[in-house]
Amino acid sequence: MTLLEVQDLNVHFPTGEGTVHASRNISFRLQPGEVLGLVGETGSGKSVIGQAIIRLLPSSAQVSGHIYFSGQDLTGLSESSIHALRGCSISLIPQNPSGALNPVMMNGQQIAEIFETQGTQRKTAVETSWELLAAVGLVPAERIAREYPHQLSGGMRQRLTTSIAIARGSTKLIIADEPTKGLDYHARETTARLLREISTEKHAALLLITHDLYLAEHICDRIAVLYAGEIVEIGYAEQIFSKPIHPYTQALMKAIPKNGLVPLAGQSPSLMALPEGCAFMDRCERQTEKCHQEHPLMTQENIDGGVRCHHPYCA
Amino acid sequence: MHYYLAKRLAFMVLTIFAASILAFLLLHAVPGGSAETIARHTLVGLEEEVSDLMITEVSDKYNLADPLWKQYSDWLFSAVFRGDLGTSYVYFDTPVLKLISLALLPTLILAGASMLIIIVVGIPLGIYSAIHENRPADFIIRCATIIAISFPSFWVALMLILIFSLTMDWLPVTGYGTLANLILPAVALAIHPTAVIVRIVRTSMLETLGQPYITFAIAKGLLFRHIIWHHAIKNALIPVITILGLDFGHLLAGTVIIETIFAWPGIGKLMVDGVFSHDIPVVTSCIVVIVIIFLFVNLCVDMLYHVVDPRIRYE
Amino acid sequence: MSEEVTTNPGARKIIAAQSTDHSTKRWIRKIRKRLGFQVCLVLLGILVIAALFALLIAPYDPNAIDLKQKNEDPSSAHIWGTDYLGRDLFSRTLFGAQTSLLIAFVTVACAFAAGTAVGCVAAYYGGVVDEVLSRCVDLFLAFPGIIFSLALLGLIGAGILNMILALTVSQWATFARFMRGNALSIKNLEYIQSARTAGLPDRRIMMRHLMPNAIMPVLILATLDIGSVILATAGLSFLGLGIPPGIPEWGSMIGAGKEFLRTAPLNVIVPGLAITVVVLLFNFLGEGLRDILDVHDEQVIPG
Repeated sequence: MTLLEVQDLNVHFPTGEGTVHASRNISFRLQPGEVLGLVGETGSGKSVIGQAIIRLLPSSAQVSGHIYFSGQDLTGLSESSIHALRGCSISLIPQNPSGALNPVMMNGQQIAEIFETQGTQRKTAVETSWELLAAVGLVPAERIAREYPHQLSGGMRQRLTTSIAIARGSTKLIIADEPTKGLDYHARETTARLLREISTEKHAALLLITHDLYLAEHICDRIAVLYAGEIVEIGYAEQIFSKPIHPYTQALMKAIPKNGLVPLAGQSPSLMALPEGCAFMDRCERQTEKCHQEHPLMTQENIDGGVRCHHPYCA
Repeated sequence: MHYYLAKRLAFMVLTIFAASILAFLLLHAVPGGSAETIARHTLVGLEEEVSDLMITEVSDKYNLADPLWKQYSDWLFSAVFRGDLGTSYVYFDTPVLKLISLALLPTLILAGASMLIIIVVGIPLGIYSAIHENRPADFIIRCATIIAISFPSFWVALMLILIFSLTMDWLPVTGYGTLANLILPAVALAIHPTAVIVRIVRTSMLETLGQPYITFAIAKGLLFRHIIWHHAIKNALIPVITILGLDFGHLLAGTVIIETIFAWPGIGKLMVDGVFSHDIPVVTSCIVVIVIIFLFVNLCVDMLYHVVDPRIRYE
Repeated sequence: MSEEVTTNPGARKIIAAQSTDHSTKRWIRKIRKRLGFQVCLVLLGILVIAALFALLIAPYDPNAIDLKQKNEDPSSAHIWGTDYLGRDLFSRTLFGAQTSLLIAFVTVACAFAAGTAVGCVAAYYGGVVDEVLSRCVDLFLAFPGIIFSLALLGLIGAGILNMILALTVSQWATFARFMRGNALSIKNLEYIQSARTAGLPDRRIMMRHLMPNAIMPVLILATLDIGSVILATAGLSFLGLGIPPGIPEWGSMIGAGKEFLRTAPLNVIVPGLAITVVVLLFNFLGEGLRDILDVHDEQVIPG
């Protein structure tokens, strides 16, 4: 059974200066144990999707559409029902681990408290936290447990928030929001390996939100490419990287250093003033009159693969 | 850490020293001759003329003919090495030290009681106001506090007396010794600082609640009650500690007026009486004692801050 | 370097960023949106005008004693009643406004001028200058509340000027410390550094660059301080210090009237309410300004 099915998710933020259309027409499916990457630039709406699933958007957000998790529609659930799922079935690895950790609480306590609020004895909770710290490579666990977040490096904080996400073991879906942001090469490698390991060992699906194509290529089964708040192409990782069909995806691939580092000219449109037709048309070499007038819909190229373009190019 | 403490203590002593010089200069550099003023105030009453003989008598008795620096150093040495702060001009040559030691406890009791009110009433109200932001309860509390901050404390004291003593006869007006005597002065003294604390706690709490680690704590699936207490309140109260230290200073200053109204035999009343009767040794010593208490409390609060906030501890 | 997507260097954030344009038009627009602030401004305007023209508006001479009419309730002749010496309370309150506002404005202006100058100089020059000036500031801050003013006034005697002096001496240090903090956080910004490298004279940098930018929050502090000074003035005159007899002041009115608390409470209630309302208005003004100028600083507390 499909673990996560998102149907026509739209997220808007009304502001004093206009409405920001952060995410539009988002639809995808995620199977148990699968790793799906949501790839795109900053501002393409990726993080918003993750926050919408676990319902942690700012209160000003307006959400429409459906999010089915194990068959249950999350959008219709009460706050307490959703809260029961958080940390339990759906976990979040937050985008900014430094900000996400309480600066005046010991590292071990930030894991242990998850068990303590469930009624576990303090001693057991503390010991479990040591095990979890060791599981993500934060050793010597007992010493690190007694330290504070500001004493850890960026990569270590990332591993700490990861261990918090897998703490309860019942997690079926992990949403990892920009897990390699700001990390150096070595930390990135370690994080990538850790995420892959977790997904396999815990049989948890991983929704990987990232702008790091290296990470996406190495651990994702499938990839959804986002532009200006929409999914423009979705498919298997090998296919996206070797034979991209959407002009934006193709430009992305060309911009990778090993493919020549060819930059894409222009800027993505403001999310407050989106054009009627295709959002990418101003930067697309294949644009036609049709692109200006008609907003392209997602077409199925194959099972679980699709593209949003009037002139997809199959090279 | 110990180095920091030593440095702070040294500064404190230096400041007390400088403050005592300032206070001394303030009171001894009277234009028009202090001997004459003292003679007029203590020997004959304000209306009558003072004879030269009286002036000389006063001048000799208190060594007022000596140069200022000598007067100060004499006073300082006898204060520090002999515990002799001089004798009162007014109270029939009673040693100032005795007067102050009698007045110290009542003031500390009053300030302590007010501090208790501030903490027990102000902090919970501020937290409650923040949690229920923009709802009717918050609105009422905010209105009440901004009005309470605008009341003159002596007027509040008189209104309380009018209501609770004169009209309803529940509590005595003046006097010292029972709890009933303490209530009105403590409440009158506490109203202004309590209102200030409510606002500060509210602001700090709101700021804390907007932090990313609160969002992450929700993502972890922790109980809301647990989040409010362990993450929000504990963090929000840290900056409030310093404010409480300053508040103690305001309480000390406020005792000057409140003690006078309620005839509470503390240092504030002693000082005011001393000012009106030009009892210079008493006033100088009162000022120095108040400064010492204030600086000492602030130092303690600073040290407490270091203990409570681990980020500073490890610097 | 990781193979991050580099195709959009000018990517926008999800939530629209606010512009940092400080033009007057923008402020007027903000004020327009806030009804409460407008009401506050209007009331303060009325207050200041009433205080200025007290001589014209007041129906009676505030010092006119009429023992046959003492402690009267409010009537058509005396709209707020009379005090224990038969003096019209409304007139006395009006003239009291004159006294309080005069003292408060001048005191805050002086404390502001002295404090910001010292704070700016200390922050700008740093080093020994900063140490010395900061120690001076700390020294004055070691005297809580009105302790210093109390002693000073007892010493130099009553008088409006004396009152202003005594209060300024106790207030300036708060401004100095606050200004220093603000100026320090701006000092290391690039445009100050470049002005220094360009060789502009120190005083010019301080006046043209450092001060104008650090000064906004301090102005808010000044507004809130007016309320504090009014309260301090009232407190000192309540005790009987600072205000010469014959000049109506709310605090001394309360001080003199407290004997009649049970029999004729209006003596105490009227001036007390006057103080509360005026201080309230200035506090609203300060809070409103803080809101409009987007200064979120918990340190802006009047001392």
